[in-house]
Amino acid sequence: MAERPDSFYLFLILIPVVYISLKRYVRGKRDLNAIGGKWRSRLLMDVFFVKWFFSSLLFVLFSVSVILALVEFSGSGRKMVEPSSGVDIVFSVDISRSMTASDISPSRLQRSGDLISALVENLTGERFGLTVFKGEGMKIIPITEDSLAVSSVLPYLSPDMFTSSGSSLEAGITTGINSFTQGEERKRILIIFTDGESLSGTLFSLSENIVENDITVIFIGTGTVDGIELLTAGGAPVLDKQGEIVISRLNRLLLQGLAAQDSIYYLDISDSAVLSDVLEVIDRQMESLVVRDLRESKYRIFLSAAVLFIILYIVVRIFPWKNTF
Amino acid sequence: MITFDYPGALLIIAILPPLIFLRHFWNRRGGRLSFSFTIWNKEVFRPTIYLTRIILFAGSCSLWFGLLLLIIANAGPSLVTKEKIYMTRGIDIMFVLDQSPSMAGKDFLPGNRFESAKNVIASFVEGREHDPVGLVGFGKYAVLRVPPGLDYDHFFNQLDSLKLMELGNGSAMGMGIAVASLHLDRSSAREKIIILLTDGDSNAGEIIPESAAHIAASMGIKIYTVGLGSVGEIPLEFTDPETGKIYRGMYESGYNEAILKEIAEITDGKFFQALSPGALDTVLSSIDSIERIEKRTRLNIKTRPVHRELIIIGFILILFDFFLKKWIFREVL
Amino acid sequence: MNNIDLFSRIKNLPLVSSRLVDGFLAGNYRSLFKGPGLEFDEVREYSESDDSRFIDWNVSSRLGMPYTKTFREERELVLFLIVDVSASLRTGTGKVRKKDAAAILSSLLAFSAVHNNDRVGAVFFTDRIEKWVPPRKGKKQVFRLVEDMMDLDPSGKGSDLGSAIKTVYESLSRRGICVVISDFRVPPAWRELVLLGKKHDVIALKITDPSDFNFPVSGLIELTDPETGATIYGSGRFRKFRREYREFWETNDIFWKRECLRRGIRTLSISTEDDPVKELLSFFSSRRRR
Repeated sequence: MAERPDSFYLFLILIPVVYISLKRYVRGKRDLNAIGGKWRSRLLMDVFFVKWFFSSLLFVLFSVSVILALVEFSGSGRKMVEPSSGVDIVFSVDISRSMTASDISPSRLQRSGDLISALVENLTGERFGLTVFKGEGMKIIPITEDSLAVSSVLPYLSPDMFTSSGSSLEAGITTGINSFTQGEERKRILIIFTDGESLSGTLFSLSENIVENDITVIFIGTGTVDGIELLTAGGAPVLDKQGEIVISRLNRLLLQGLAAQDSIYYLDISDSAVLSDVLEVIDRQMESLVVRDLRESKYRIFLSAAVLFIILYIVVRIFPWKNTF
Repeated sequence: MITFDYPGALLIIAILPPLIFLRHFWNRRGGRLSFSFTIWNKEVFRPTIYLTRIILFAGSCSLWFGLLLLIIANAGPSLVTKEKIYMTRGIDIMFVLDQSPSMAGKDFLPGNRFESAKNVIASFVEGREHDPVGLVGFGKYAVLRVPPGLDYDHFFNQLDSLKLMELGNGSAMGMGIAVASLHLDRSSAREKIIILLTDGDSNAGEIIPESAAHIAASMGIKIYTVGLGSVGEIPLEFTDPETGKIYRGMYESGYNEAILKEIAEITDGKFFQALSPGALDTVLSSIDSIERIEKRTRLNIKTRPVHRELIIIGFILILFDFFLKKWIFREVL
Repeated sequence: MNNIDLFSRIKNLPLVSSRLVDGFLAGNYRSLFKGPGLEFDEVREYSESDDSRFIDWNVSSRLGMPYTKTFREERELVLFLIVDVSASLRTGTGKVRKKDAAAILSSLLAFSAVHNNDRVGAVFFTDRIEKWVPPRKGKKQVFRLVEDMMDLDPSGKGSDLGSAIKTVYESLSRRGICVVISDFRVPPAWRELVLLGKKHDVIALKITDPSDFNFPVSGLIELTDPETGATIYGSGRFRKFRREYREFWETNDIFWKRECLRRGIRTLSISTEDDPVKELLSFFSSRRRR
């Protein structure tokens, strides 16, 4: 099985490699005749053809082998048992202005708070942390067993907790990841509550960071796709620069797109089964013995071949065949 | 740190020096065309194409370096990170710190009682390893600042941001103990302690210290009480966090030793008095030495294979040499 | 061009070379000879019956075995060819190598001498004396000479013209014509040439190749010098490289011509691409007219 099938695209490199090699043959013959002299033309051409043929062939074989090594074919692999002693759950809540929209009653933020307190109630004995984010992230409750501390803060979640414009999912994830503490073999779960609206920041290194830290991420989409107008504190609709009423919608596609990876999930908060779904994901992580399928990549076979081919490619050139070329 | 799954494969590197010699320095190597360009024993034609030679040199370097990377990648390199894993649960420690204005007493030089208490707490926490720490501040009210946890950085930040009189003028010692106990309730630690630092009498709050101590005792929490400061009149200076006004004056100092002793007794803890910053330091180090449990740890070794990165860089380097020589310089062979 | 081709071409040369005689060996050259008498003729290998007084120690030491001087009374013209067979002549970009061109020219000259019933000898040199062919008469001598030249597998790589000339000077006492056939990619041996010129008529015949001045436009290629083994990158793609190459060799050529002229040595450059007969004819006709 190919672990990195994207690497097959690298075979396109062979087109210029082969093209240049063929061109070298035509030009090389001409050049050798011009410099080497017509009196030994036949001998030169023979030697050149053989050397050109093998060096080009070896370079192509080398490229093919390297690309196959990069595809990382994997065999059946071995199972590995990972001990675990509980879960650390960090909630990362989007507190940008759009989270006050009331397309799900009473508001997106409040529904998130409700879900968090329900989860905290249901998961006694685990450890929790709470972070919030707008344009930047902020740690509210560090990882603690004191679930009371978490639930007591929940009613105060609001866009006014600190001033920072925008809504950077990246900041939310980074702050969330940084909340986890070292030193224990506990499963790490990051639950992010966001409507995915007007996101700033890049998600370039997001997935790598998640994988590297061995973190399971659950995105909880808050709001509805149809959306609702945003209201100011006075109750009037928020207008944009053109004077249009701003409609805030749940950007479900974006979040679902992010959840394409193995350890990233997406759930909808308006789904009635959302609590049990989240618990199920957490339960799966909590099973004290997690069996991991570690497939071993067979890249070394191809890489060894590649090293051999490139060495031979160099040797073909070095070899003083018939003392000629 | 880097480890190799197949270190034997690194031996192939030994082939590089002879190969480099044969390719670039051997007198009889192939790939060259015999062509007379010297006057024997007199002059040699030396073209001044230095830039070309530098570029070609760079190309050759990238070829050999790329090959080296591929050989290294072939040995299955992994980056190893070690993580210390604690097998035992630490002690939960809650600090309950008096934030009343009297803590501004300037008998703890160079700063005041409050500052030296903060410093001593910080160095205490720094000396702990894997023990969850929490922080409760009390004045007229008591507030949880940091729930007990292992995030020491967060703890230090919060401790640093504490200000005198944030919680009003008063000393709700009972409330402080109660809040700390409440937040230790869910803890799974076998040992939980509260370290109470105060310089006054309990004069606010709905819960009297004794009953709070009884609650704590019933939860199995030990309370160490530390009385700060000397008895008598001392100078005082602090800034009101709300108005920004600076208050100065003299203050009749003195903590209620009886209550503190009683609290300690009820919860099976201990009472200490600290007349000076140095004494406070000693007090906390003795608490530190009392409250120690043996920790069992093991090293968790995580490996992350890095061959892929090496292969990609090596491949790019070798392709660079190929395209440079065959495409830009149109090398014959 | 292989040796068989070359031989068949050389076999046909006698016909052409008869035309050369007039220009080359006739006329004023004859008048240069001194009067009759016992003249040192040549050196040959020493045999036991020889008088040990006549051993030529200079030549013996250079050739590694005893040589004795021989003397003869007749006065005949001797054509002596001093031929460079160093590795640098085994190159060329055309159909023939410089070495082949040198062989053709040598045999042409030799045939014309033989035609005139003169004796012809030769020395083949690299950085040492590779072969010494004493002057003799007859067609056979020419073929022997050419054969020697073609079959020669030089043990030396460089080209030391000076020591070759010195040997010729010391071993050839009778006045004759010396033709130095080389690519002149040699350390200049002006002192020896002047010395030789005092006694003999010296012609410097330079074998050239189109690539001597114009490097072909081509891709990058590593070039190795056949004599020194030095390596450079030949990058005929770059105009700068080609310009430097041309300037280097043109300067060298101009210098060589000027210095020869100053010392009264006639020069002749013949390219591997030229027709050797035509070139020689035009050279000698111009020479006679003078």
